[in-house]
Amino acid sequence: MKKRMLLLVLSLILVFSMVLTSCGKDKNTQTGDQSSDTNSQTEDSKSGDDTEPVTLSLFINMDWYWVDSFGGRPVDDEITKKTGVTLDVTKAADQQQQLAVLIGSGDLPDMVYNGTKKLEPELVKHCYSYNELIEKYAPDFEVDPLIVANNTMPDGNFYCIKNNYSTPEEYAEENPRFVATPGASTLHIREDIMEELGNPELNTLEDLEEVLVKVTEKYPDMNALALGPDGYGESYFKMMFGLQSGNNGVYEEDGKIKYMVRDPKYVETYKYLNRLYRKGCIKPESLIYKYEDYQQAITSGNVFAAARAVDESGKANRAFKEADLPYKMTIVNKMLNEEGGTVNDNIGWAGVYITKNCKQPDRAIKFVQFLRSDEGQKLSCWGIEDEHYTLTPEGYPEMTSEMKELYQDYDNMVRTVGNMAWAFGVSEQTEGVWNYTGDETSDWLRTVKESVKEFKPVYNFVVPKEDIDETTIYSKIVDFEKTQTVKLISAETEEEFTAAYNDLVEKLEAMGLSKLEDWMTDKYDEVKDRYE
Amino acid sequence: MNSKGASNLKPRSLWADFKKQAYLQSFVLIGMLFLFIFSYIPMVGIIIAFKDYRISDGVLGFFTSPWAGLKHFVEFFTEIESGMIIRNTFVISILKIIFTFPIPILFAIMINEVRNVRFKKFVQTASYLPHFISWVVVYGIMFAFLSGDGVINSVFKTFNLIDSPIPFLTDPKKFWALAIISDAWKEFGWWSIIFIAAIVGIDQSIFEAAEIDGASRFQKIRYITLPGIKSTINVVLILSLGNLLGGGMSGSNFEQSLLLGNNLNRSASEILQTHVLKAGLVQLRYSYAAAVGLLQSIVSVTMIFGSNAIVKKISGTGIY
Repeated sequence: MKKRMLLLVLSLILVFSMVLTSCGKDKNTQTGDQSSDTNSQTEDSKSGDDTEPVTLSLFINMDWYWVDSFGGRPVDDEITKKTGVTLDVTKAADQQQQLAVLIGSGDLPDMVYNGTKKLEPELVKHCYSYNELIEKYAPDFEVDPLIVANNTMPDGNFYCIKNNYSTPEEYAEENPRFVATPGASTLHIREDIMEELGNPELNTLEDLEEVLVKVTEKYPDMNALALGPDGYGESYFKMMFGLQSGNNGVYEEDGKIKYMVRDPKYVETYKYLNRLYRKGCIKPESLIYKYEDYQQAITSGNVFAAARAVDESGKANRAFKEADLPYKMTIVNKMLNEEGGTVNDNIGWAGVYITKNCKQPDRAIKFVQFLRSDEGQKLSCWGIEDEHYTLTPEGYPEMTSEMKELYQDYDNMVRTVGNMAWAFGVSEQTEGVWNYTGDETSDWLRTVKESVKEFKPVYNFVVPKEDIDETTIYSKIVDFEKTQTVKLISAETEEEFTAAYNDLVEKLEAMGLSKLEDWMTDKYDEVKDRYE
Repeated sequence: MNSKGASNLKPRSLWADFKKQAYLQSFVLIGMLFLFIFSYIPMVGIIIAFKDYRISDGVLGFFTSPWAGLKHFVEFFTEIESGMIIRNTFVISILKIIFTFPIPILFAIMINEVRNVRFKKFVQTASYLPHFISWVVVYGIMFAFLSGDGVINSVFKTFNLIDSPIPFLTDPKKFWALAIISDAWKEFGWWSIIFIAAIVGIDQSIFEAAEIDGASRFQKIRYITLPGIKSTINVVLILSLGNLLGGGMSGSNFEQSLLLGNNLNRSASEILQTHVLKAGLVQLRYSYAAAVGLLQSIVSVTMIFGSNAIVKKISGTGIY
């Protein structure tokens, strides 16, 4: 009898609690529905608890992304603990088209993590602007005015905060551990051959030329210099000659915006490379290397100097060791030209867009706010303190030994720990100090970081992205230029070089270069005030 | 009783015929369904060649985007490189037909004359094996053989035949020869199978009769073998001409230009299909790419109708 009573009471409690929770749910969705209506109420959402469990759907528009699910990793769970947010992740199978289809079909999820600039103008038409959401739901979310300017779209609103960006102030701060990204172009040379040659001076580009010629004389079959494919290697020399344009390929002169081929430094760069080609230091084959060919040439010991990302010598040395070859590669750890340096026109890389399909934009913006906060950045990038990193007395992260081991296989690290996977709000600096390893790699990356001559984020806004003729011209010109640089490098005589260069400019003109430049100059006059 | 007999003689309805052959017809149906789904439905997309389509509009944008008339076609012909691209496409395609079409026929006849069965089998198998290697792999092999420090240049160098390596892969002047020779090497064995089959199908008694009449080997080839496989040659020729711009029988133009082509030899290697790929998928100019692709299809359709009509007139046999 007692037993039966107990059962009855228990089941009543059960039923009662179920009714209660479902009521709660109803209330929740109601709040959500209302807040999805852009201009209504703010009080409803504020009444809710900020860390109440909620699931937000997210589309990651990167087909190479490390992870395709959320939860179960230390960092993932910590994020949920702090924000109450669980993500329902969809990873792009094809980053060229899938997002376009989602936009077209109206099936966008709550949030989109995107770094593709081509689709941005279309995407934001279906998104809430941050300024609106911040005003309504997160008035304490402060965003640096410069970052706002960087992310502002033609309609005057900003729809995301792109990560991997640091302000010039952050750059200027004295921070021995803040280094450039590992993607920075780097020159690597074979130390053993340098020793054979009696360690000649290597302080200037002339020195480099001399050394390369010596290597070519001694080893005629060797690639004295192999340029990383897809213009990667060329970008190192562009940096050495101090090209006036940044990633967008445009620069300003006397108030006019010009395309990089007009830059005298551009001509100097390719003249130098052409001279190396004519002296036999660059082999014709090396100009058509695909990445695997290039890699193979290096690891087989057939390359003296190689220009590409910072990790090339590390990779090469590992391969040499495995194959038992007595070679060693090292980074050329200095700027070889006083005029060398880069123009930084970075405005960040990718950001979280909150779509109008989002049921709870208040929670979404707070989620972004958390990931942008100091705490959120550290958690999403470095991991959990004492477990994945420890802090030095100066406040820099030091990976734990376990983490260091995991870091060797980056993909696996992200999949196991979950750091970097949700670093949607991480700044260049936060990641920079974490990537600092204290070896020659860091030294070079620090040199690169300090070689920034100018910050020109405005260049991002003079390049056409709208659905107009100039956008087509721009993409045609950029693509065409890429196919022509090898012609400049491989000209047989100086006259042929000049002819090839003139031909390039002439063809770009025929494609509408001047028209494009006029358009960009007008645009520049329009947007430059934003940065003043 | 009469009625029964009459019903037997009456032509049966189509449906009854169909029902009787249901088993066989189902094969046809599957084939038709395949063609319908993968060849006919996608043709709806041609519409974007005449529109200003943006990928962000999704599939619906095919219909909702504004009309642009022939804008994209005009754009192609005013493009600075269109002359070069058209020339390359036609030159490579025509050279391929001229040089790669007769090789399988000659090879089939030669194989047919070989008396040693084991040797014959070996040669035949070895000849069609390359067909099964993908172009990506073939490119890898060619790179190993033909690059500056590749096998061929190394051999030449050892015998002091050359001072500096021959730039097989980077010289635009060598691209056409490279494309044609590699295509012929890869595909001749495969296409010879169809001709060998045709030769085997010729009535052996004709050969015996000719032998008794004292015909020589060459006379037998000239007067019996070649006329015997004439209709097969016609069919293959028409099909190759239909796919002229794709690279004839093997349809290898695209793969070759994509893989063997590079920035150094692109003045000889850039063709319509690679141009379509770059304009469409790299520059996101879908409408333009569709227009250029459509132009190529129009040429192909014209070629297949034209060549069929001509061949029919000359030899009396065509594919339809």
